[in-house]
Amino acid sequence: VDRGGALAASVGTMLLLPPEDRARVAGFVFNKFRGDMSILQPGLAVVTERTGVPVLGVIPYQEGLRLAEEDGVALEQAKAGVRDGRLLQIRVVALPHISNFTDFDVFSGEEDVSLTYVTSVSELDGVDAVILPGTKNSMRDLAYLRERGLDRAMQNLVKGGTTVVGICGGYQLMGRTLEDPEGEESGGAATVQQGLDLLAVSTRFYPQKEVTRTAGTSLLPFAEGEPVSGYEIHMGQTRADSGIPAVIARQDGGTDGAVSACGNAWGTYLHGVFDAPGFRRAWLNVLRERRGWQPLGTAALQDRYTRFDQLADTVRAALDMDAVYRLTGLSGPKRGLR
Amino acid sequence: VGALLMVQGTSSDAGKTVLCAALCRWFADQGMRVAPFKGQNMALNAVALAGGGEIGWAQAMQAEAARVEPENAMNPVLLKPVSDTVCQVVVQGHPVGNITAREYLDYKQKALDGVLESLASLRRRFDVVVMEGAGSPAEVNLRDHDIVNMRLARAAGAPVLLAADIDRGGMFAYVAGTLALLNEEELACVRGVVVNRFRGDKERLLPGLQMLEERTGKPVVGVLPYLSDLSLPAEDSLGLQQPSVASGDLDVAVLRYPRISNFTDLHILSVEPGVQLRYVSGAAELGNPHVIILPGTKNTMADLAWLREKGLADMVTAAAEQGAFVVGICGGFQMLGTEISDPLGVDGAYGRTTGLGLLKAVTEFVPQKTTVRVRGKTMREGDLLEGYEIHLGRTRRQDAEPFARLQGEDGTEYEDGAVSTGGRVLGTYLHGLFDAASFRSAFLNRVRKAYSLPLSAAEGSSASAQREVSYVLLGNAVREHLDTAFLHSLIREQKRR
Repeated sequence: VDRGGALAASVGTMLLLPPEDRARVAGFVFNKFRGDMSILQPGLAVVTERTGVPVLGVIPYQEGLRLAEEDGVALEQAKAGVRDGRLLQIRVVALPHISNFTDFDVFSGEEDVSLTYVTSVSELDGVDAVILPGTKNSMRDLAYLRERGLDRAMQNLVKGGTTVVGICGGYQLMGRTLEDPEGEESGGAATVQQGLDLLAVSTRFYPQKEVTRTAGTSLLPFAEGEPVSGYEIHMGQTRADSGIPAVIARQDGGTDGAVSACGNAWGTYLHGVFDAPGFRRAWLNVLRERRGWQPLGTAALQDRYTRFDQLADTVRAALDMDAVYRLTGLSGPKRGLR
Repeated sequence: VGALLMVQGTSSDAGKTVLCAALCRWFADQGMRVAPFKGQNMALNAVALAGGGEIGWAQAMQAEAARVEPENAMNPVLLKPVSDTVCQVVVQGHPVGNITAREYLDYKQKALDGVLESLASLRRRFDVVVMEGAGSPAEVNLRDHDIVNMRLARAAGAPVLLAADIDRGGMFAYVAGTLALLNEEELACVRGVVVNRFRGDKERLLPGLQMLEERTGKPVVGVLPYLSDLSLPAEDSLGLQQPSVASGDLDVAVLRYPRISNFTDLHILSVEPGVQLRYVSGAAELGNPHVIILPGTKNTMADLAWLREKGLADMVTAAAEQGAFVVGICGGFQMLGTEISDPLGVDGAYGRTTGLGLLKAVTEFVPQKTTVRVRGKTMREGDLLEGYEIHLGRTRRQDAEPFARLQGEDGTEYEDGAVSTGGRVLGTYLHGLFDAASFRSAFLNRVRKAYSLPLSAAEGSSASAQREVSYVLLGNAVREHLDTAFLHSLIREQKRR
């Protein structure tokens, strides 16, 4: 509703749907409404009259509802980060096939962090940490890093003591070799590529996709025993040289990730590793320490799950829930439970 | 009598304003005298006119595209929101008072008469009037109160082009639904559809457009491509969500208060090479910028209270103490002073409050509104300035240097604004402060020097020169992508009548 034209869009969508799809539409939900309901009401009546489809609810505009940023547009906007001597400067490399960048949304709630997405070496001046995010295509993004000189820039940063972290595909890129015997990532041709050689690991791609939820504790010295949890989604398997310290002790008894000899480069398959407030703060405090700044306590962040609860409450209050239960074939919550 | 062509949209932000500017330029290129027109505009960006008065920024921009002088008749009713429920109503360029949304509903019939009068006046003097609607004409619940869309089109006999934004998705449904909800008379006004902001393969779009023409009986007059090179600020606050186009080493933070106005002042900085412009609405976002800008506001006292509530007020004074440059424009200038008083409640609330105290100046609100176009020079360096003032308050310097010597159109010279002793805090009533390349380049290099950043050698171009590049692109886009023979025929048939 906020942008205008919602009545027309609803009627027009119904007009253009083929009859069998039109029959599947059980109701309209009008979203992002601010204003006087009594003024909107006659318009809603016209929509139902014209389409025969009931309006199940009008959801108010919710300011400041910060769940994760979901699309590339939001990513563009996040680029306009803050440049400030007093903030930790974290840069995420905006790989062309970047995936799962919701991993970094949590940093927007940290008062001492400026996080921006970068695509060139010149944007890495004065950084505290660089993160190589997940990618849908490690092999091609590796070529991209080389083209832009970002591979050498990151090698130099690690030598100089700056932290570099790889998540999932980014972790794979930090290894010694990436081997694609079946051409899974390379368009059919068997390929072997040299990685950034920041970690003593090598990755081999297989057709099997690993999709698991993972929980465990951190093995990193600065956050030993801190609980972490998240999920893994990847094609490759990564093997570390013997004696290389891991990043996470998984609950199932295994380990994940690898740390460099100097400790300032590490990588993990765990998406959401920064979600745990204790782990995140411990890591940020390592970066602060290197600047000679005092460590900070865990931010009293409003937890994302609380925000989901608020969202659910708002939607519940605005929708005809009886109709929703009927449509989904569920029975509503028993009275008194909520 | 001049011919009419009206653009209405299927939603807000469908690209009406820019399409009207494009049509203005194209008609002007055909040797016609063209006037833009929007009966009623709700906007916080306004421009002062030669000879006094103010109109919405968008119509002034369209007049510039049409190569004509902007005038009050082009935007006879301007609504400037003061709070969530109250607007200042500006009629024929001059404020007539603050009224609530409910009161305005009653006022509308009277407003429509004035709107038609202004339109008639333009038609007597121009070959073509390019009219812009507002929002969507298919808000059937609001039909009775409409004075900007179909009611105006019918009253004036204007052919309507319906603009739809394809970039956001749902364009076909928007067009089909809008036409489905119009009544017969309204439907007869719509002569064609313009698809806006298209990126992609046009071949693949054609079957869809053909289906749309068959379903609606209205021709698609053209498909305009997404024009990413335009250097025109967005008219409404949706545009404020876009970050700086350029990335740069010079960090400029703009305080984005709830009643921010005339933020078109800042567009030129958002495209300035080497400058990173960002909008700040909370203490955590301020960081440590080189320059902090306090822009104009429709309600100085309320927005100052907001700055305090957000903790930004203290942070701005602390940043100034540490050497950051602080620039206040209009309402922002008023906030930088030591005291603001509004004995008559003309700016929204009665009373008196202390300002941020960064400039030794005192503001008092008076019922007389100043709207004037000015030019002049900064006192210290003699950099050239050009722009306009729109404000209710009067500000007296107390033991502070003025910022500039300005000259109104009638030739009267006066001193404007104030500068702190160190020269890093400055306030001015001049909107368009950064538009002139001379002052902008000199100021930015002063900041660069103070922070030991590399100086920028090139003096940029003026904002109007940058806009002119956009108008050329727009005129070309009409020629290339719209059915111009059809546009001509819409004009011709009115001349025959």
